[in-house]
Amino acid sequence: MADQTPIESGLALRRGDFPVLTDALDYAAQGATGLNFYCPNGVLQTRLTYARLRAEAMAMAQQLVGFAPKNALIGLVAETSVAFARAFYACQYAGLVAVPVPMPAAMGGRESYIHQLRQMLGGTKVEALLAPERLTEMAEEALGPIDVPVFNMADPVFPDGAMGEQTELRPFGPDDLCYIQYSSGSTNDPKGVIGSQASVTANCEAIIKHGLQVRAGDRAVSWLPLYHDMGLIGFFVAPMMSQMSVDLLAPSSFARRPLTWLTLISENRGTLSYSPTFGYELCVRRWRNDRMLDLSSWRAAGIGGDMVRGDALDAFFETFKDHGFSKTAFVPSYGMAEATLALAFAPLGEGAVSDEIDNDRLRRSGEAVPACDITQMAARRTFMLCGKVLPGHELEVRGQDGKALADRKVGDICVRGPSITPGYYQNEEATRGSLTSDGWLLTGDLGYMLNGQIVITGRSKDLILAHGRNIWPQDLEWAVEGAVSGRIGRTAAFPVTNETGVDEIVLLVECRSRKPENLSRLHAEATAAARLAANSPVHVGLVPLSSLIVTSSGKISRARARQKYVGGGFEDLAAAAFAAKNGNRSASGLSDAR
Amino acid sequence: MKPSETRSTVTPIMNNNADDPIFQKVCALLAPYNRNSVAITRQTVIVSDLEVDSVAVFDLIMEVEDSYDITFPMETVSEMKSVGDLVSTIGTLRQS
Repeated sequence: MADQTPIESGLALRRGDFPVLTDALDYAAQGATGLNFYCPNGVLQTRLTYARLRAEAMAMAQQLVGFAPKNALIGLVAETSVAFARAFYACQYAGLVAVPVPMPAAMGGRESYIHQLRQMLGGTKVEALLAPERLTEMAEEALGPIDVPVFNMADPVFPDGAMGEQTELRPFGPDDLCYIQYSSGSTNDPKGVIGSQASVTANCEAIIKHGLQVRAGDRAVSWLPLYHDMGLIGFFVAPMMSQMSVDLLAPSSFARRPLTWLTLISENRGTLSYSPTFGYELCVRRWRNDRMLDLSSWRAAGIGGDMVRGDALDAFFETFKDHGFSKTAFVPSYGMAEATLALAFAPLGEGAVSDEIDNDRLRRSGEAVPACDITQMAARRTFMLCGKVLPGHELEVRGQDGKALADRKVGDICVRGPSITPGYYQNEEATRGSLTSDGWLLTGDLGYMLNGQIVITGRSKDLILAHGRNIWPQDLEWAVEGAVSGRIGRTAAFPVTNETGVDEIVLLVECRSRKPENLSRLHAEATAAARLAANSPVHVGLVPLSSLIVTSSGKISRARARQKYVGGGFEDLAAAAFAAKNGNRSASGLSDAR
Repeated sequence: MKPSETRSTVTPIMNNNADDPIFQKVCALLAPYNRNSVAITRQTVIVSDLEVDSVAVFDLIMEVEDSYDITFPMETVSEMKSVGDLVSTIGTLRQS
C-alpha cells in the first residue's frame, strides 16, 4: 500500500480563487495532494489523489449526463468514502445538484432513518439516490414508495435517461447551483439550504485566505460527517480549493475510537482540524495515556457546530499539553449552513478567549455585564469570543427595533455577504422568513459584540444541541404525541442548561388522567418514545391540562414553558401521584430550578 | 477494500438460552449504563429503557467490539434495538 498523499502539492499555492468547483479540481489535479481514507484503527485504507479523483469523477459524469438533465437533483448518502467523493464531483462535472444526506447513525434507528430519508428527498424531486451498496435495501424501502430509484454509489449502472446518448460534460458555471444542504430544519419539516457556486467558492476563499490563513505545509485531518457543512465544505471542498491533502476518518470510527483522530494528526503532521466541543471532551474521556502523541503541528484546533464551552477546552489542554498541544491553537468559530459554513473565526494564535458575565443581569436587562467580585458564583456564565466577521461580510447584533446594538447588548445576529445562501430549495415561505430583500440573513441566533468580535449566547431559540447534534423539539413532541395519542393534551420540548453548560432535554406532557397507575404508564411510554426520537436521555415531566403556555396565534411557546419550568412553576403530576401512593412524601414543583 | 465494498450479510440467530455466555457478557457490559438498575432481559430496549445517550452507545459498542474482536457495520447498529438484537448480532458476526 502506498503512503498517504504528501503535504506539498508541487504547485504554486492558489488560495481558493476559483469561480467554480470544477476549475479548482482541474488545478489541484495537476499536483500530488489528495484525500486519504482511514480505517477506525488509523490504518490507511485508500489514498485518492486529486488527479485520480478528477479522472474518476469525469468518467462517472459521462454516465450521469445521459441519465438526468442539467440542474436535476441527485441524492448522495454522504458516507466518508471514495465513492462519495467521486459521486460528489461527478455531479459538479455533469451539472447536477448534489444533495448529500446522512448515514444512519442511531442505535436502533432504522425506522427513523427511513422516515428521515423520505422526508428529505420526497419533497425535493431528486432523480435518484446513490447509496453505499449495503444501505441500498434500506434506501429502497425509504424511497420506493415515492418512486425515487436507488443506485449503488460505488458502481452505479444508470439506465438511458431523458438525455439519450449524450456524453459531453456539462460542468456548472459561476451562476449555477452547487449543492443542497439538509442540515437545517427538523426531520419532519426539512429545509434544503441552497449552496450556489458563487456562495460556496466565496466562503471557501474567505476561509482559506482569512479564517485559517492557509499556507504551504498545511494538512487537514477530519472525522466530521460529509452531510454537514463543517465536514463537507470545511474539510472536503475548501482543502481541495487550496490543493491541500486531507486525512479522513468516518464519524462512526471517531465515535468509537476518538483517539485515532489525534493519532492521525500526530503521525501525518496535521495542522488544521475541527470539532464541536464534545469531540474534544470525548478524547479526554477515552484517553488512557497508552500512546505517544506529538500534536505540536496542530496550529488551528477549531471549535464549531455547538456552543463553545471553555471548561471542556481547558480539560483537553491539560490532558494533551505534554503531547505538544498548544493552548493558543484553539480557534472558536461561528457559522451555519445558511452562510455556506463559516462567518467568524477567533484570531489565529490567540487561543480561546472568554468573557465571564453576570447571567442574572443578562436575563433581566439583556446586557452582558462582566462578572465582578460581588457576582455570585451561580450567576456567572462564561461565553467565548468567536472573532470578527470574515472580510467582505457584515454582521450586526440588532435589537427589537431592528437597529444595531452597542457592545455588550444581546440581540439578534444578522449577517450579509457573498457566502450567504440564495435561499431554501423550493420553500419560499422559509426563505422569506430568513432572508430580507436587502440580503440580510436573520440567523435566529442571539449574541453580543465585544471589541468587534461576536459572542454567541444562544442558538436558534428552540433548537436543542446534544453532543453536537441538532435536535428539533417538534420531532420529540410528535414522537410522543404519536406514541400516547388520545391520552394527552399538548407537549413542549426544550433544552435546560445545567450547571456545567450542557443542554439537558426536558419534555413536558399535559395529561388528561390523574390516576397514579395511568400516569406511571404514560410516563414510561412517553419517556421511551422521546428517548428513541432524541437518541439521548430525555426528562419527561407530566403536567396538568392547559398548564403549557400558548402564544397569541395558538402555538405552544417553548421559551415560556422553559421559563416557567426553570422557575418551578409547573405542578408535577407524577410526583404527586407518587406521594399519594406512598403517603409520606409531599408533592413538589417540577424542576430543580436551573 | 473500499468501505463501500464491504458487504455484510448479518442475519440474527435467536438464542433464547438465558445462560448464553454472550447474553451474560452483554449484561455485564451494560451494567455501568444501567443507572436506574432496570432488570435487563433480551427485550430491554437499549436506548430507551436504559439511560444510554448517543455518545455512551459508542462507548458500549467499542467495548463489545474489543471484547469479541468484531466490528459492527454501521447499518447493523441502526438495526439493533434490544439487548436480544445486540446479542444475536454479536453471535452472527463472530461466526463470519
